[in-house]
Amino acid sequence: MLKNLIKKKFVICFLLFLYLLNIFLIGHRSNFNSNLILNFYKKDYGYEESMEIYNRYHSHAKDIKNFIKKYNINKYNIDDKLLGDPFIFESSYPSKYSKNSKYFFSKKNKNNCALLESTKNINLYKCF
Amino acid sequence: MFLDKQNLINLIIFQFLLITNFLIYIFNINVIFVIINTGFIFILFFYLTLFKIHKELTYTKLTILILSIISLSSPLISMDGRGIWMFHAKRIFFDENIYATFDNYLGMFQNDYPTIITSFSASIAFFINGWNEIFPKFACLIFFIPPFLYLSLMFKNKMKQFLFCLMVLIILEKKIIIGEMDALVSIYFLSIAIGLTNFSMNLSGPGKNLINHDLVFLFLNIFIFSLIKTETIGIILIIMSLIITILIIKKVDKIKYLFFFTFSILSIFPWFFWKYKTSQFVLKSTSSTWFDISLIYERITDFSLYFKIFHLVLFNTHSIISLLLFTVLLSKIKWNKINFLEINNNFQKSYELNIGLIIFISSIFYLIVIFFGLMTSNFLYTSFNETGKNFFRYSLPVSFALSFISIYLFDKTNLLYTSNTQS
Repeated sequence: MLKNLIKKKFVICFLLFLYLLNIFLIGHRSNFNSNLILNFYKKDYGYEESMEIYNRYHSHAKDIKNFIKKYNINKYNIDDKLLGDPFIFESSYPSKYSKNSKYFFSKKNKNNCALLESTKNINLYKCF
Repeated sequence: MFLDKQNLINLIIFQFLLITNFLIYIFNINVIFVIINTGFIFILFFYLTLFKIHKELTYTKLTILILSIISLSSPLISMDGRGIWMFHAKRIFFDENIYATFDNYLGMFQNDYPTIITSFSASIAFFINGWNEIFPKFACLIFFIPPFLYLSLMFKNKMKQFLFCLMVLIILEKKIIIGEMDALVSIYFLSIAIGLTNFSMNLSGPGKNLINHDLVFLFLNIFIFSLIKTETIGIILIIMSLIITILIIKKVDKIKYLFFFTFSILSIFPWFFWKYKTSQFVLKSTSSTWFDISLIYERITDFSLYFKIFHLVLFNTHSIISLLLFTVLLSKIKWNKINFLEINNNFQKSYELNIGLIIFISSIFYLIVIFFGLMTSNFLYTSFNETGKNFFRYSLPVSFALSFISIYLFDKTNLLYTSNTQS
């Protein structure tokens, strides 16, 4: 009787441990950040934290978003090599990509266009 | 009906409000109604999870609350969540139009996907008066709640309820909260399979009231499921064809067939509506790279491809866990005692046996469809090396369903060799 009870308690404790372990695993894998819970309802919040894991290869997306906000750009054009990067388009929305825009983002130098501003990741040109 | 009426009514109201949100956008009604409706949804969410209703669901409610906290404390990190689903929601929010993606702005964002979930993400953004990268993905968890509560209510035993919650955490894991649809596809697949089984049992039984709360809940479930992804229609058709076969075996009246057929057409009408809408615009179909029949002749003899597909679809944590659980269930069966006459007899009456059979067979058919889909897919060859991990998602509904029946039928294996007395 006592043996069965101990056995049952052990199983319950083990399952409870597994439950807690999974909660922590989900929290860890979804980049749980206790600061966010206090700000989850605030406008424009969470972009920096969301892009943290993508910064290594997509840091230009953040710069483009910042330039678009700073210069109030509605439509922009980008270098062909950046066209396959979805982060640029989703980060910069509601500003849209357009081949006819005079604002041009590129990692390289662009002739016949004036350099408005640059970071180590991206250059913003105004073409006429 | 295996759930009590009040429990089911709460879930029906919740799903009705979620569908209303979508309909408000479809009929282009003022955005103020979106905000009011979203407010009601959150009130009901707190009512269902915090207050003393569903008292028997302590573990389920606790799991929902913990997942809510993690969801609201985590950024939008999933690639598909960002690039497809939440980007669609962002577009709906900024353009104030549910067809915002139909302008085919950059085809890589799979613009033909239905927007029932993403429109609610947009509503959350309207509710807080601005877009952010945390709160809108909470919509996935909100849509997850009705089938989760429904399935939990099927377990009358607290220990089994806890095991079910544990299974949800282990198998669906972070997919519930990161803004992707895979967890929703899995749980709705299971909930619809069970709802349709219940419906088929009602149809084959004599003189029962066919239009009841279960049927309304099932209708709302199929409505939502058909609009989660375009591919979900395949799963619905698999389960429905299976039910028709069972009705033929049970020799039900022609009127009941007609009733089932009418119900099926009505419940998948939203999918036809969305297809009609997308056909009016020049949109690249998401599933256009699947089922290229011309490829089947050259690939059917390529046996190395079989192993690659099996490896990509089945060699992952959730498949292995579900197979382990299923093995435990199989080990409970006393094979030497199996009596086919009793099985046939119990099959006419036993709800549990029907559930087990329908879920198991529909899972097998689902895997076969996925297998041929991948075999005849152009993009499979090109993405073997780069995105191999993404193929794991295709077997997620099957893993979830098999794990569920393993827990649900664990103490009911005697239905295979003893007479069933319950109806």
